[in-house]
Amino acid sequence: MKTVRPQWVVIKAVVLYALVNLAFAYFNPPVGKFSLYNWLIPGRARVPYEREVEYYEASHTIPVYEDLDAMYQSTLLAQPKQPDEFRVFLLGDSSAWGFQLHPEETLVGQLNALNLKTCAGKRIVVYNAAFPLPYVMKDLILLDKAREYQPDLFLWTVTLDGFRNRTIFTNYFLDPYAERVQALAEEYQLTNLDLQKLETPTFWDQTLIGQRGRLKKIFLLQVHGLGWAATGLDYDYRSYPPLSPDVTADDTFFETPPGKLGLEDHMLFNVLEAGYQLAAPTPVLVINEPIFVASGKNSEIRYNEFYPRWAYDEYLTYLQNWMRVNQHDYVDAWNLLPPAEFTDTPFHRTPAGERKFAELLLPQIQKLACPK
Amino acid sequence: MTFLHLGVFALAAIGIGRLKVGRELALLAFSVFVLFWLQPAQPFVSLRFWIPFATLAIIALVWALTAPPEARAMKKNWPTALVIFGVILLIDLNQFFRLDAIYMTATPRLWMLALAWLVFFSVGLALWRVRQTSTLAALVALGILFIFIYLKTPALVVKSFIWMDSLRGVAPATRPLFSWLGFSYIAFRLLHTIRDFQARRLPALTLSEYVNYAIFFPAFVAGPIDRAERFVVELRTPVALAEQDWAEAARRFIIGLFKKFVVADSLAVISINTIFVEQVHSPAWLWLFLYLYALRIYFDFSAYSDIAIGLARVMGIRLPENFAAPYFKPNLTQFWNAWHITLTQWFRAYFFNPLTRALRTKQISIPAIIFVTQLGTMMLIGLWHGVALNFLCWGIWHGLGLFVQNRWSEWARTKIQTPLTPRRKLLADALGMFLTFNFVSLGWLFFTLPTPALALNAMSKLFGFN
Repeated sequence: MKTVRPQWVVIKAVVLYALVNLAFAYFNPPVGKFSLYNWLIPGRARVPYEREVEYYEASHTIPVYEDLDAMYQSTLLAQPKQPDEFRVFLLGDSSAWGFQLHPEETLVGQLNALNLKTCAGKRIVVYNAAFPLPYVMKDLILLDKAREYQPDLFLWTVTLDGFRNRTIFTNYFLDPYAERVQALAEEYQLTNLDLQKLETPTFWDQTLIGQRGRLKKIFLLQVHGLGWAATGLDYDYRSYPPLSPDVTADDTFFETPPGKLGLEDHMLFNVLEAGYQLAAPTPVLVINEPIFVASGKNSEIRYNEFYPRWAYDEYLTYLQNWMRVNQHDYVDAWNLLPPAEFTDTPFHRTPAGERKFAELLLPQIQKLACPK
Repeated sequence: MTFLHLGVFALAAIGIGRLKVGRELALLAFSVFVLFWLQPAQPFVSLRFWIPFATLAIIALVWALTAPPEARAMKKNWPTALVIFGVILLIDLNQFFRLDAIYMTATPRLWMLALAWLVFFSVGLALWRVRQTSTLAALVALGILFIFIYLKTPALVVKSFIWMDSLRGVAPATRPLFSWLGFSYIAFRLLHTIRDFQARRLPALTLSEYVNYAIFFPAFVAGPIDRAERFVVELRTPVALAEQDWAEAARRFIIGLFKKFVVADSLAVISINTIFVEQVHSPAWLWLFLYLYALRIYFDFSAYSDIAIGLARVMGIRLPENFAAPYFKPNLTQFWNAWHITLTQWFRAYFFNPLTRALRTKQISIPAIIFVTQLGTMMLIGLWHGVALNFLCWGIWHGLGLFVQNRWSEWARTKIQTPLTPRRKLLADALGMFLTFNFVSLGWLFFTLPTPALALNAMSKLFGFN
């Protein structure tokens, strides 16, 4: 019988493990591309997301924002495009994603329920490509990735909050894509984008050990797929207190006093322009999303707890001018909905609100789907 | 236990296994350290120190009450006392070193520790002089059982801490639930030695041997529950390790890690639980999640046994097997001979067999004796997991299952005289395996769901009565 030498077994195992780690870092295999979704498990209606770890189980989900391939591969978006299909991708924050709503109640669900067709008779199918984070640079990265899935039109919902430079989100969302972020910033001259805190992953971060967290999440996302397939639920619906008609008397916008918003210099409007150019020739329809307009105490100071009136009005005027000057398609829906159509935040909408919002977008979508 | 814990355990086991001198004391020192190191969050942070201290105190007192005079000789035991004292002192001195990465908790001030030692030695000396009697041992066993029942009754634990808050005049606070790590296993080792002492079967164990047996670090959290007389033989004369033994030990350890951290932890996400029972309406999906739970609990539990067996083997100690392909058994009796074997053997030795013998002296029919003993044993095994109605129902489920299977086997033995052909035997075994696996899986509903009502609701959904 062949003698086993434990020390050699250990040495060989260590060497092999080191080699596999180095090879993984060098080749950086697209692990996220391999998915059980849309094959063994039905694709999700929207990207996996849940804020609180303790609700992952009830939501049958685990967020994998470190790997956009894995994130989109788990959704219906990754299905092969049908010849009679006109694909519309919705980008945006939590209100586009559909907080507190079942997939069929979201904006995407409501648009699909309208059974839209293009002039050429193609089915207009809307896909939810949004990730719940109010940050336009995050949307640009998603738009960049979503191009791989053959879109015919992008709908991009925005609000003032998303144009802020958010260093906290840089580390949270952009770090894994640091190289691409820097390339986009250079290519589209996103000079006011604050990338000081952006941390480019090192070679060691790319090894199997360095990537173990991401790989574990990708694996668990497949496992959670069974829960999703069995229940059709991808979110734990929790109760929330209704929005108060009263707001605080504070007139600052995230500590910025009136007159100091600096839309031109500090806000990321150039990211919108980058989005148009990056998506081309696919058209982009930017939509200023509805907000809750308070009617009670201090409502003469603020529209809601997020926006003092002076800041939002300044933003609105700037955005409308910017769109007009640049001749972009644009829908302004900021005051479309009455207060009763908002749920837990000044942005999250009720199913009826989503329906009304969808009906507003209908003519614009059909216009862009039927080019002259 | 985390990867860090298990990595340190593996290195320690290799180191201890290679020692030529002082191996037993080194094992003791590390096991004492692990007892402190693994303590979970407690309602009061200082309990993370005092619980392991109390564990060691109880073990030492039980030893003092059960060890024969020749094993209690001071010259044999002072190095052990010194090692235990030294490790505890070092852990307490960490309040000055602040090596938080290794051990972090609110350690008591030195004078408190000194006072605790004084109380412990006073009680110890008093017991030393007391005559070792069966009655005294029985009283200690009852004390251990009392602590055990208290710990296994969460409602009682919560109420006691609310009561303590009221005594201190403070409002009840939200705290982690009080837990005594490993007490379920330690208690059963101690009870086994007490019963064997009463039956005059317990071998003479020194303090070092006894403490090592009770808190042997690979096995004290999740078993297996070894027998003292078997354990001590290999503790005194470790089994020589051939190169193949190293490979086997490593294989068990790595398989254990894989079963726990890859298989069981992944299955945990998709195993039946309250959420699935409420959200899933399709019986087919529910059956799948139930089967996945059955696999998960097996992989989780047997993984710890694999890890413990692998670590112990490196130190020259062969722990007993705890699982033997239980889901491939053709009937429930064989399942229980293959599932958590050491716990089942413990109950068989100290409850089932004595009760059967006692009942046989009475004018009771054999089926009635079988019914009472099997149901009683399984109810106790259920309650060992927690004093709650769902665990009791789980025990009753299995007790009734064992009784029905016993009666069926008896009936079949008398009716079917001709032996089965190999083909029919294979078919019968396959059918038996299928029925046993499904019966056990359905039983897990009582085990994992918090109330019997929810378990029955799940059962009705599984059979399409939604």
